[in-house]
Amino acid sequence: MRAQSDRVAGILAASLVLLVVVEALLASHHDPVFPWHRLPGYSALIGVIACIALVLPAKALGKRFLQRQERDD
Amino acid sequence: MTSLALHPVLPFALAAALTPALGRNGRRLVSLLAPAVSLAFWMALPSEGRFSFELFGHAWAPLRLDALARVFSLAFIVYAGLAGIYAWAEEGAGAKAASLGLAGAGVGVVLAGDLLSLFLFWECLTVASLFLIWHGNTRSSWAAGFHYLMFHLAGATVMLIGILLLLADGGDGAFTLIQVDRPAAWLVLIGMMVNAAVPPLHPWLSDAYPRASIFGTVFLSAYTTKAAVYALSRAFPGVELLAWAGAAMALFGVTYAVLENDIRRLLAYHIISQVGYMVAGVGLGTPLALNGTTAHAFSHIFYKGLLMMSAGAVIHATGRGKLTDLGRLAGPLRWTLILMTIGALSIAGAPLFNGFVSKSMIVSASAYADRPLVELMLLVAAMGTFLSIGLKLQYFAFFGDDNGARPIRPVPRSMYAAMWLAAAVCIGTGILPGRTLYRLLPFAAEYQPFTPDHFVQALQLLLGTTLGFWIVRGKLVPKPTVTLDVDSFYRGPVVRLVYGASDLLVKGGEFVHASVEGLSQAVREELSDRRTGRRTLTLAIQTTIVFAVLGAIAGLAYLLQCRP
Repeated sequence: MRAQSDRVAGILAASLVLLVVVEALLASHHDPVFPWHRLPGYSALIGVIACIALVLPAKALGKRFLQRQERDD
Repeated sequence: MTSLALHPVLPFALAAALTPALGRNGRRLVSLLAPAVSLAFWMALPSEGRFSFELFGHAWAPLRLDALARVFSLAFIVYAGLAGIYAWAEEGAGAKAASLGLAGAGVGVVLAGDLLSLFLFWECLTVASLFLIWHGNTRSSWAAGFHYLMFHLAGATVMLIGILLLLADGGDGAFTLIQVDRPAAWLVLIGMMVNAAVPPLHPWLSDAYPRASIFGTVFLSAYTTKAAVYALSRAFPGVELLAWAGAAMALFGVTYAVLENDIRRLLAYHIISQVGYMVAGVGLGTPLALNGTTAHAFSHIFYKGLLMMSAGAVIHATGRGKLTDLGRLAGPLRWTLILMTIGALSIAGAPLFNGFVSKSMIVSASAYADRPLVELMLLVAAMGTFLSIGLKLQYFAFFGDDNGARPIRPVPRSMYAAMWLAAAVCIGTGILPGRTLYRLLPFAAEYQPFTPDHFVQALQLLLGTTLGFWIVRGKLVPKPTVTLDVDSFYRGPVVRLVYGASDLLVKGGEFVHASVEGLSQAVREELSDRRTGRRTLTLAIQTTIVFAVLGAIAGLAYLLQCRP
């Protein structure tokens, strides 16, 4: 189970690296407005980091303050 | 005047009025005939024009046609047809009439050319939505209906006061650009923000939409908020506040969706999030941003409809609507899974789906307008959208653990037909935007969605999110919880306020009653016994003074108001 899970993560990470390489070589931002638009892998970074940075605080917030046991209605 | 006879609202209004008198098949027929006839009217009308008449000293213009009004009204009319097919199995006459009324009111808002016509259709939206929510036929839908009503009556009243003040200020009442330079304009803006569900004015949406019937939710998800987006882009483009409010909305909605367990409420929070993109586009106010808002509203109506329809199909088939009760349905409900995946890829902005061609316009516009923070917020929200729908919702409903959910009845063909049609719109406009959606856009702004870098960036974002999801997926296992929203802060105080106010009214009534009683008692005594005359006289003088003061205040207020 653990190994399978790691394999999925590995495949995802490898495809991501491939996409970053493709971006750097073939498809750089055609009209960069801000300096970071030139950075290859900027979108991938937002995907991974923002995902974790959204989920962990949201869950913490939910656990501490926002979530209550469900009532049937 | 002949153009007014072809007003696309008329078929809906007539059908809604006829529905209660018809049998089951008659009702089904008019629910599809109304959008078809309305579409025919829409095509027969000229592409530009304003048709008005004078009544009660006001120039009413219930029909105004231009590019912006045409694209929104087209989406509303076509979607009414799709949702009508989906709701073929719906039996109730009341719900059918309400859904036709809702679609008609939405079209009316979009075609209104003056502010008072706008207001009348705006109120029709509220009433029709209210009845659709109540047709959920549960105790909680009854309560949610009142919650909905409270917000929309308050919002519409604020808007009406604003409109009347604008008229009193010498405005001609035309529904067009409004300068935010006086309180009246702010009132209109706030009224529209209520309907656009801009937090903290949003709890009506996440509370009420999941509590209608599955058919009701499919209608509700399209009209009210997008009509408000239309109104905002007509009246308040370029209002800075909206750019930030919209970006915040986009993030707010996805944060709550991450925590949510009820599948339709999860999708309802995504309405708030997606409308956030549109509101941000209105706030940016450039031609590209406004085109993006228009295109995204069009796309959103269909992919959100598809998502709500497929969520409804899951609920219809299994009788369950919570992620903690679902799971392992990919086998028995595979077509629903495929259709929901099309909706999920569309809302996430995956290339070749309609969200990609519209959302990226707003994101690009935020960069061109030199708003790096808005751009970042919208990108993060796009990630959160894919995370909570494409990954969380789909994974825990169709894969994940077996929680005992089994299909107990088949999904009717009519529901599948509507979903396939909605999916066809999502893919069709996603692949060929230049021949379809982009032709309808109102402003002159070139945009090319299909560049190699857009493709690669979108794929990176989606794959990166998937990797992030995979890492933290243990945290995302749904829990049987409800998430407190801002309404939990005011529910208690509002109830106390209402009870307090009614208490005060009763006490006030008792006081007035006692005073009148005392006065009449005194008069009676005066008549019977001259010795109390002095007391009566004192009372009379006191009363006169009170009325004189009140009169002076009223007079002063009148004078102030007449001040040149």
